[in-house]
Formats: sequence, structure tokens, C-alpha cells
Amino acid sequence: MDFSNNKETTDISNDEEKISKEKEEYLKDIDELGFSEDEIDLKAKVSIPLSKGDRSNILMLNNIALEFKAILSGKDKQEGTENYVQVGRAWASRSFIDASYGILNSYSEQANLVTSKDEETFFIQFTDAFNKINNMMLLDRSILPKFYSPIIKLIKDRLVNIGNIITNNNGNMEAVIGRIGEEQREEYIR
Amino acid sequence: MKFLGFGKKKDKKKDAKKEENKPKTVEQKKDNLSGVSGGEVNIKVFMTFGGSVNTLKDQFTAVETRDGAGGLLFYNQDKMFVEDVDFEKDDVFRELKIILEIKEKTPKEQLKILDKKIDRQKKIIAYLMKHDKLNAVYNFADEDLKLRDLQVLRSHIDNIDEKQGSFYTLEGGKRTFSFLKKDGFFYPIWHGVSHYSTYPDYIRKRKIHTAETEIFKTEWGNKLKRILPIATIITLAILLVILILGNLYVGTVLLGKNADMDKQLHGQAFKCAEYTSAMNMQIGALFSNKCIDMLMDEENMTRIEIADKYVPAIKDLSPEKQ
Repeated sequence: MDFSNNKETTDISNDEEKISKEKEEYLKDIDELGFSEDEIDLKAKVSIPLSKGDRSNILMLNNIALEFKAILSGKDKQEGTENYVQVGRAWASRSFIDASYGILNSYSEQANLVTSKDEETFFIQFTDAFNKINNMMLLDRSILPKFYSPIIKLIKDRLVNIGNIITNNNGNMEAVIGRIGEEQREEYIR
Repeated sequence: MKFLGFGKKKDKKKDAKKEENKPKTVEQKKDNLSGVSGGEVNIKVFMTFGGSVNTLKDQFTAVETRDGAGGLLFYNQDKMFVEDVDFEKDDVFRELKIILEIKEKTPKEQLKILDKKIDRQKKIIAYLMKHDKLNAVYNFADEDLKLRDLQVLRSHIDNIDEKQGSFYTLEGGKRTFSFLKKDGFFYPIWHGVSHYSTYPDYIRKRKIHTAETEIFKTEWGNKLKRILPIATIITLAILLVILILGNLYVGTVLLGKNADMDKQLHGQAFKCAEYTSAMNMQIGALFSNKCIDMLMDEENMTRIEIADKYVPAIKDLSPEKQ
């Protein structure tokens, strides 16, 4: 008595039924809310192109900000593509996402690249941007506490990457933030 | 007796009412209104003791102060009472009432509109949890917050205190805030009924906020501390190099001068040696003279002794002579 083949066939048929039911439900639900499928598909997908040949700093900086916005909006990167697709719920309110995106995207202005920045001048910009976003997060009532530290981490990482691109000494930001404060971090964990 | 007893009770009540209606003296008024101009507030702490009825456990005055972040606190040192105060609730209600266009409607109509809105909002959240793609159109965090605000507004309108119309009461000119103590935490009681809050996670988020800002400060503070020693080391190194170079220069100059001095000294010494050799020669020649030899002879010495007139300059103390 071998039921393995039968099982597989029943499982597959069940899955297909499930998917078709889910699809029907989805279409019904979005129709009730007053949206079309194409409209939602269009908004659910964001492409952030980063071609290998093009290495312009402005594009790279803009992509950092766009990627940050996509992650906070609940999107994730599709494997092997340049598309970010909606996979979950947003981490924060739309107003916070837009404001923090604006702060990060301000670095991709030409003026930031034309002026040669050393570590100290970027440090002023860095602390200002961090404090603004940090305070904004405290006042934003929609952000859940569990998302607070991950968002801070994301912002720090992006700002460090921006610093590496903008400042004259390549890789200096990693040396500054990566190594320093590890002992203090351990203390806080305790 | 019963009549008498009732009569007595009635009289007591009347007396109490009369006393209440009597005009208060200036001193009494002062006692009641002391601390009105300051930041003092009355605090009432309620507890349920496992039941559903709130019973007054403690009552005291607290002072309004601000913490390091500028947040408003109620503080009483004796009672070890420190609690946050947030007035955002009023602003949220005001905004919501304007947005929903329910400001000039009766409470019943307001509740009807709010119920409809809450139902729709719940549906949207259910759809968002069901279908991930819908999150591209609706922001879950925003919709969740909207539902919470609507629920709080509904509760607020349902349980509104008609006399005061605010979330605190006035007693003796001071604001009175009520708290329900449960499991060691103080829950603010707005109008004594509402259990909803527009910002329930504020305290926890502020803790994370302060921790993150501290981490950031230590990271960048250390960075600055690290830069300073490097600068000092560089300056010290430069100073050391300058000192070494200076020493070398001065040393070479001194060595040159020393060599000159040595040359001069050597010349003088040579001259001295010449003079001394010449003198030796002359003294040698002088001693070899016959006249002096004769004077130095023994015979001459005996002659002096014989004369007895002369005492020899050096007395001979040898035992043979004595």
C-alpha cells in the first residue's frame, strides 16, 4: 500500500485550490476597498537601478535613501532583480518615512559633492541628521517600540555609508564607528 | 426615641450644610488656595484590590518639574512618586473632531459616526493583515494609529465629564490627577473611566531613545577623545625633533669652540714645558758650580760649629751628636 503518490497529488491540488481561493478573496477585498489589481501591483513594486557601469556618487547616494525608504515601507529586494516588492507591513508612519527619506536624500545634492568634506565637517552634519531623526521617532506615535532600535541601526548604517562616499578619506567612517564604543555597547547589553 | 434620633441626625446634617454655606474667613481661603500660583497639583492614587471598584488609597500634593529631556513630571520626594505628564491627548481629540466634522454635533450623533468609522478602520486593518500587497496602498502603522485614536475619541465622548470637560478636575484651585496603581505601575485615570491611551508606548520608547542617544554620544565622544591624543602626540613629536636638532647644532658649535680653546691651551703648555726645561738646565748648571760645592762641603760646616757664635739653622737630633 503506497499512498505517497496520492498524497502528493492531493497536496498539490489543495495548494492550487488554496491559491485560487486566496486570489478570489484578494480580488474581492480590494474591489470592496475600491482598488484595481494593476493599481496595487504598480504601487507594490519599486525598482532601484544600480548598473555596474554607472558609479556616479549622486546616483549611489540617492539609491541609499531610496533603499531606506523601501525597507521602512515594508518592501524587500527580489533575488536577482533590482526590484523591491511589498512583503509586509510598514515599520513607521508615512510622514516619518518621507521626512527621514528627505534628510538622507539631501546628501545626494550636488553641493554636498562639490564641497570637499573632511571628517569633522561631516561629523556636524551626521550628528544633526541623527538627532533630528531620533527625536522625530520619539514623537511619532505610530512607531512600535520593537522597531525603534532597528530603525536607528538602519539610519546609522546609511549615514556611515554616505560619509564614506562624501568625505575625502575613504573608509574613515568605518574606523570611527565600527571599532569605537564596543565596550560601551556591551555595558548597555548587560 | 426614634423620632428624636432622626431629629438629631437631621439637625446634624443641617448644621453641616450651614457650616458649608457660611462665608469663609480670609485665613481659611488662604489655606485652601495655597500653592495655586505654583506648580503644585493634587494626586489621588486608587487601587482595585483584585476587584473592579477603584478605592482611594492615597492622596497627596506633587510638584510639576521637568526632566533632562524637557518632559513634564509630577514629583513628590516623600512618597517617592515620579510620573510622566502628557497633554497630547487634548490636541489629538481636537484635531480628530475637526477632521471628522463632528465638533458641532450632539454626543449621540458623534458616537454613531465614530462607530461607523471604527468598523471601517477595523476592516482595513484586517485586509492589511490578510494581504501583504495592500500595504503598498495603506500604511499599516498609520491605519493602526488611526484606529487607536478613533477608539480613544469614542471612549472620551462616551465617558466625558460634563461638568469639567477636561481630563483633570479642580479641587481647591489645584488640578487633581487620578492614578490607578496596578502591578506596581501608575495608570492615569482620565475621567475615572477611560482605559485607552493615545500613546501607550511612550515611556518604553523614551527609555530606548535615551539609551540610543547615550550610545551615540559615547561613540562620538570617544572619537573626539581619540583624536585629541593623536594631536598631542604629533605636537610632542615635533617638539622633540626640534629639541634634538637644536641640541645637535649647539653641540657642534660648542665642539668647534672647544677645539680652538684646546689648541690655544696646548700652545701655552708647550711654552711652559720649554721654560721649565730651560730652567732645569740653568739650575743644573748652577749646582754644578764649584763655589757652591765648596760652600756645601762638610769642612765648612765644622768651622761654623767651632766658632760657637753661630747656631746652626738645622739642629742635628741624631743620638750620636747628643
